[in-house]
Amino acid sequence: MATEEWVRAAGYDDVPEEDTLGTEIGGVPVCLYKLDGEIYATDNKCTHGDADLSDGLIQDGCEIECPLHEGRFDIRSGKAVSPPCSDDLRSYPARVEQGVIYIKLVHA
Amino acid sequence: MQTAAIQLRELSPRFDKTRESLLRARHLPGGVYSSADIYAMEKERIFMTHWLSVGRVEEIPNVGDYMTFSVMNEPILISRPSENEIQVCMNMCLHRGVAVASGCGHAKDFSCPYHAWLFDVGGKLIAAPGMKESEVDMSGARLKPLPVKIWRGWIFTNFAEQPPSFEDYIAPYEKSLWWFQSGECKLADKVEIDVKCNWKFLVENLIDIYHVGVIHKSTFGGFVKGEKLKFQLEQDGGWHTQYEARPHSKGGTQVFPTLPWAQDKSSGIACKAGIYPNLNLSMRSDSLRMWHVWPISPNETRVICYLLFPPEAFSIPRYEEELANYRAFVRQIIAEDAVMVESLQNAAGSKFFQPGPMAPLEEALHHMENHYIDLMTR
Repeated sequence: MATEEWVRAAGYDDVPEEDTLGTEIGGVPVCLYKLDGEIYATDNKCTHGDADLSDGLIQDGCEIECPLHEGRFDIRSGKAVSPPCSDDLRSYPARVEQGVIYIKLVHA
Repeated sequence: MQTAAIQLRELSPRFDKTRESLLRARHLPGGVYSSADIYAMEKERIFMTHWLSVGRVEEIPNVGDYMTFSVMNEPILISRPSENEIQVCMNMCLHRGVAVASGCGHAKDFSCPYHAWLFDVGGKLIAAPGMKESEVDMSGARLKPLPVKIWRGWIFTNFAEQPPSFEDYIAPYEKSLWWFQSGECKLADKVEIDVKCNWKFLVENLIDIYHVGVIHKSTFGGFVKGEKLKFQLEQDGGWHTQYEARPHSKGGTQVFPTLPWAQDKSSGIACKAGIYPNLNLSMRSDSLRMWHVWPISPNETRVICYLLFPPEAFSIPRYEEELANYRAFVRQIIAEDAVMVESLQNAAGSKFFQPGPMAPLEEALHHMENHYIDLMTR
C-alpha cells in the first residue's frame, strides 16, 4: 500500500520571489517555486532533455521554461505546455508551516 | 583542383597506355594512387556524384532509429522518421555545423551538443534556444536532406545537387544479378578493416581473380578456377561474373544452408559483381557479402564487409560459433590482401614504379581503370 509522507524541503525564505530553488529530497531532485508568495514543487529534471528546471526562467507568471530547449511546463500542475516537452512533470503538494516548506512524497 | 588537373595532364601519356586494348594495356600510373590533389578531385568527380550505398534498412528497423556515417569527411545522418521512410541528411547543425548526432541508436530527437539546437528524427529544426530575439527566419528550417533510394535492402544516397537517375544507374545490375537477392537476406554482421592504401587498390583487389590462387592459396584460393572466368562488363565501370568455387569457409565445405534461389545450381557456384565506384558484391552457395570500400585519405581506406544470410541460416546449430568462424575467415582474407596492397601503395609513390602490363584475367580491372580515366579527364 502506498504511504504518504510530508517531508521538510527548505526554508520558506530560501526560495526567492518569482524564482526557483533546486534541491534534493530523499534522493529525488525537486524544484521549488515561489509565485506570488505561494510555494509549488515539481521534479527538477526536465522530462525531455538532460537539464535542471531550477536553472530555467519563469515565464508568463506560471510557466517554467527549460534552459536547454525552452520547452515549458505549468508550475502549478507539472503539465507540459509547449514543445519539445510532451511528458508532464511530477508535481508535489507543498505547504508552509512556521517558515518551513514541506512537500508530500508518496512511497509505493 | 587546378594542381590535380595539371598532374592528370602530365599523366596523360601513361593513361594512353591504360587505354590500349586489354592484351596491350598497362595499369594506371602510381600518381593516381598517391597524389593528395588527385584524391581531392576524386572526391568531387566520383564520390560526390555517384550513388553510394551507406547502410542496410534493417540496421535502423524502428521509428526513431538512426546511424551516422562519413563519406570523405562529409558527415551524414541516416534515420527512420516513420515506419516506411528512411531519410539521409547532412549531419551538420544549422547553427555552426557541429554534428547533431553521433554513433547509432534510437532517439526521439537530436539535440546538438554545442548549443542545444533541437531537430526531430526527420531533421526538422524544432527548437533553437536563446534565439527568440534573432531576426533571421528559421521557420521550416531543416538539416539538408540528400536523396534516398532503397535497392534490395541497401540504402543509397547521392551528394550531387542534381543526381543522375538511380534507376538508370542500377538497371544493369537489377537485370543481371539474379543471384543478388539481398533483400531476402538479413545482415548477420559487419566486418570493418582499415588498410593503409589508396581506395582504388582495394576496389581493384576485390575484382582481381589473378591473385587469388597465389596469396589466398591457404584460405580460399585453392578452390577458385580462375582461368575459366568470363566477365560481363557493364556501363560506367561495372561488371559481373559467375564461376566455380567453393563456399567461403576454411576447408571449403558448406556451413550455412543453401540460398533458396541457388537450390538448382551447382554447389560450387560463385558470383561476383562490382558497382562503381566502391561496391563489390559476392555470392557463394550459402552466403552473400557486400564489400564497401571507403576512402579515408589518399593512403588510408576502410573496408566494411556486410555478411548476409537468408533467415533460415540464423537458426542453424551453433550459429554464433559458425558466424565467428566465418567472420575470422573474411578477416583473414583481407589480412592477406592488406600486405599486398600496402606494398602496392608504397610502390605507387616511388619514382622507379612503372605500371606493368595487364593479364587477360584483369579484364574487369581494365574496364574500371578506363572508366576512372574517363571520369577524371573529361
